[in-house]
Amino acid sequence: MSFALDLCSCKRGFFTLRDCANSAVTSCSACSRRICAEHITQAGLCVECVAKRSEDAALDETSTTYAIRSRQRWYGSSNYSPVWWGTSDPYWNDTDYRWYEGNDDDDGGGFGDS
Amino acid sequence: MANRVKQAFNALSPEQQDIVRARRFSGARSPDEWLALLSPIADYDRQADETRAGGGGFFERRYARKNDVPNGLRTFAIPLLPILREDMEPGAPLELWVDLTGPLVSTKAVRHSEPYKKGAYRKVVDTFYDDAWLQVRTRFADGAQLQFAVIDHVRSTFKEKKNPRGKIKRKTKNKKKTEMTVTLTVPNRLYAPATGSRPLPKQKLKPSDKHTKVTVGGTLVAKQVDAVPQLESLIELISGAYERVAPVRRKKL
Repeated sequence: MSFALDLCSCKRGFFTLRDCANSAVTSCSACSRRICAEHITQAGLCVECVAKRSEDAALDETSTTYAIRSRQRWYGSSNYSPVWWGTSDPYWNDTDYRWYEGNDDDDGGGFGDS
Repeated sequence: MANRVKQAFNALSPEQQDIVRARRFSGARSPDEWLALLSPIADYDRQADETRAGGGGFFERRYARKNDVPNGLRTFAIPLLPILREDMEPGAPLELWVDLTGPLVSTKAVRHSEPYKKGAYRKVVDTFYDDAWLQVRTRFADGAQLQFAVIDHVRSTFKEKKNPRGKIKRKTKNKKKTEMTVTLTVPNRLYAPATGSRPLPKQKLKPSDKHTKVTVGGTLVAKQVDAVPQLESLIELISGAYERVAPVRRKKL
């Protein structure tokens, strides 16, 4: 028997990206990913979908939505590739992020230095 | 008619009113706590600036002018908080030192030139000021320590001449450059020095046993003394610091 945690699919971070640790409460109406209360907008879209579509009007401008929108713009305008410390996600395939490509450990993370 | 700027000021908490009056504050709080403290001040400043630009009566404009908050807080420091919050380690404090009293105060003067003559001017004195108006230190979720400072360097030139009618004329001109320095200290268990990063005016990489210290910086020439640099300039420096290292393992943080 396995326990699958229903965690938010959005990524936290600006200069580096990591998984959001919040529990999901709903699904994004555009990408269908499971999303937490912090990363869902009133329009029913996740903040990452809204930022990608540049639908500023749909963003109820919280500090989180502002940060994600700024992140999307920065990645698009500056050629910056964030460091990836999260779970692989096809949603991010069009983003040129940096991660370790060797055969070193993927320790499942979260519990100290290992 | 009620003074709306004064009403907005009175609606601030005593701590927020003290910040508006003193134009300086420091401390260690979470980004959310900083936003809760500073956002109402930004709203007040926005309203006061609109009033000063002609949106109110004489007394409102005078009150707004006397109780102004320099725009560095509203257009640079506060927008930075949600961005830093994204990368910060949960529960880590964000240490802020903000001094918006301006560069042209005697305590910030670092050097005076000897009086000299130049053209028609019989006396010219240059005074140099260093104003570190924003300093930040925090810890990121990847174990990196981030520290940066925004420093205004102002050269204030006082000139004095006597015109043909014998009248003494004096004037002062100010020129400003803004220096930004970012220090990113990353743990060697996650990062190693890398190549292929964007060029930056100043850069230094200092590896040690457990950490690699990346220092980057640059200087911007300001058009006016009260000009505030673009937030993107600082984001570019932090990005450039991260580009000087690369991950050496896979790990979910």
